[in-house]
Amino acid sequence: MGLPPGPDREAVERVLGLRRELLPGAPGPSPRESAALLLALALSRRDDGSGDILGCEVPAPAALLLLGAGKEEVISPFPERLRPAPPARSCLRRGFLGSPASPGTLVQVLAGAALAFRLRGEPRVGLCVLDRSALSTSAWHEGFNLAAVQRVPLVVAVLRSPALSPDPVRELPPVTRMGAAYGVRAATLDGACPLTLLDPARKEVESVRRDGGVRLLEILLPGTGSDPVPHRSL
Amino acid sequence: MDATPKDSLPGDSGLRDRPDHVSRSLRGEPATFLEAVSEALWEEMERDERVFLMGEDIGVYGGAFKVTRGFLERFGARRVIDTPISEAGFTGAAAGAAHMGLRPVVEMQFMDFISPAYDVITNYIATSRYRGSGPVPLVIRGPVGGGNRGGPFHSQNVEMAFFHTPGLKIVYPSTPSDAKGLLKASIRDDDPVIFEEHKGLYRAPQLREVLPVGDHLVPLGKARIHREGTHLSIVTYGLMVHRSSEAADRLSADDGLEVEILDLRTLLPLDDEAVMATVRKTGRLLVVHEDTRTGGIAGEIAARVNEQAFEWLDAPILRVTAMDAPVPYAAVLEDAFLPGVEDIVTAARYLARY
Repeated sequence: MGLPPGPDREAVERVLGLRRELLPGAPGPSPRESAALLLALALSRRDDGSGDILGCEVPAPAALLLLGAGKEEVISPFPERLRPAPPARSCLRRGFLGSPASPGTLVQVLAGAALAFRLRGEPRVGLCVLDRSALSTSAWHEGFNLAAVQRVPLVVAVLRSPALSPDPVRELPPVTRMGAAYGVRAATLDGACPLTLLDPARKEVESVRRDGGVRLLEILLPGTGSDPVPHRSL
Repeated sequence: MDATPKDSLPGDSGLRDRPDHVSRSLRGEPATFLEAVSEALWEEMERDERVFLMGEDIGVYGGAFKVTRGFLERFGARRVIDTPISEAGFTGAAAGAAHMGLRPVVEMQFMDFISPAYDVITNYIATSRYRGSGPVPLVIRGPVGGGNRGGPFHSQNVEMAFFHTPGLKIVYPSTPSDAKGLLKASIRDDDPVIFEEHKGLYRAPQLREVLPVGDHLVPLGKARIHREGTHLSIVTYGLMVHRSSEAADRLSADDGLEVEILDLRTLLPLDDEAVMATVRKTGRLLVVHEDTRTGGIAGEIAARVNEQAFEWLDAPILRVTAMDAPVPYAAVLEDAFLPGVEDIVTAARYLARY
């Protein structure tokens, strides 16, 4: 574990232990799940409905366990071979939203949740974790554009993994350029070692909490085991 | 933002803050259908600070039909939000705000434009309770219906696009009083409500009425007898309540037929009890709707009557509807496309003679 001793490291170790209990025999967290966990670690977590909100469109049981999800929220009703899947159900009290059927829709919903934070003057932040393929949808555009226009406190993290996306992502422009088109500050982070994501993610979350507005993060992930880019697993 | 709704509305002092068009009931003046909708929104926003509005041109411009005229000045840009042209985006955002405890009311500039939001409404909002994700209390409202020469993109009735989606409610009022009471009830409901307002009713002078004073609520899911009768029943809603009423006047004067008219008011959930009661009373049923014929609500009502009141029928169930076509632009074609008084009279006479 590359995190220094402290609450973050303890939280990650606890979550990985829980994950092993709930998914016995399952492989360790994938690059996407590892990235989602470290991003979620940047959020203010409460169990009384007053914390930040995570919406995650990729399978990331570890991120949900971090927020206090139970077995029924982490284990998908799909067959064993498809587990784990993105969660269908939400637990607003603990701070996560279930994933809708259509990629990109969660950006719309998170934009509205963050709008509610702004309307009520609450120092809360929404974090939306998506696969790069969601950015091909009109749902993504409408949600992100609305969030940008309204300057709601929202961080959108886009996981870009060449091996896992149905889109020819090598042909697509970097999302930093897309951020500029929406007037949103964007950055690209190397997710080959997921532990390195925590500090920049926390910086962006706190910046949004303080100043409002939307941030767009592109997380570059390695692909499968045959991918030449090395991946440091949790 | 105060999370606790007020128990009561402002008294006479509220008059000082309210423009005329949203204070007809307090003044005891007759209100149009459109003013009744505006008054419902205004009162709910005054009563409950969780209620806010989203939609295209609803703020500075006051809405395409001026339903929200004066709202921006009274409630501010935080609660009257002009959105980009993105029906899916702001409907999805309304769902997120509803998850966080607010009560959004979304305006579709024309209900025809709800189709881009079909995915988020049916796959996300309507399934939320069933996915264990809790209620999504929001209202999607807007103008529907033909007769205004709007053509295929500004004249549709959208109820049946959503009628078979469990998890939604669909409301379609026919009078100013019902519009106000049903809209207020919809805003307070914990489920998502699609609220249809026929453009032909908005400013119809003959429909002006003095609205009930006070916190006027009309429960969802309860139909209303619009006109008592004994010879046959017309089950209908929206503008067609008034077309059917005209037809009933003629049938009474020319044929001596007394027609009972049941105004559904809420299409989902459908008030089966009221439908069966009128069928059992008259034994003859005509269903009238402005929506197109195939897959229209008349088919569902006929099936339910077949299941629950077949023995009481003395004649086949008939329907008068729009034709199965897009709404035409040309006036002569649109008039032929829409169900009219003559169509209702003809069908009713056939039923009565059967």
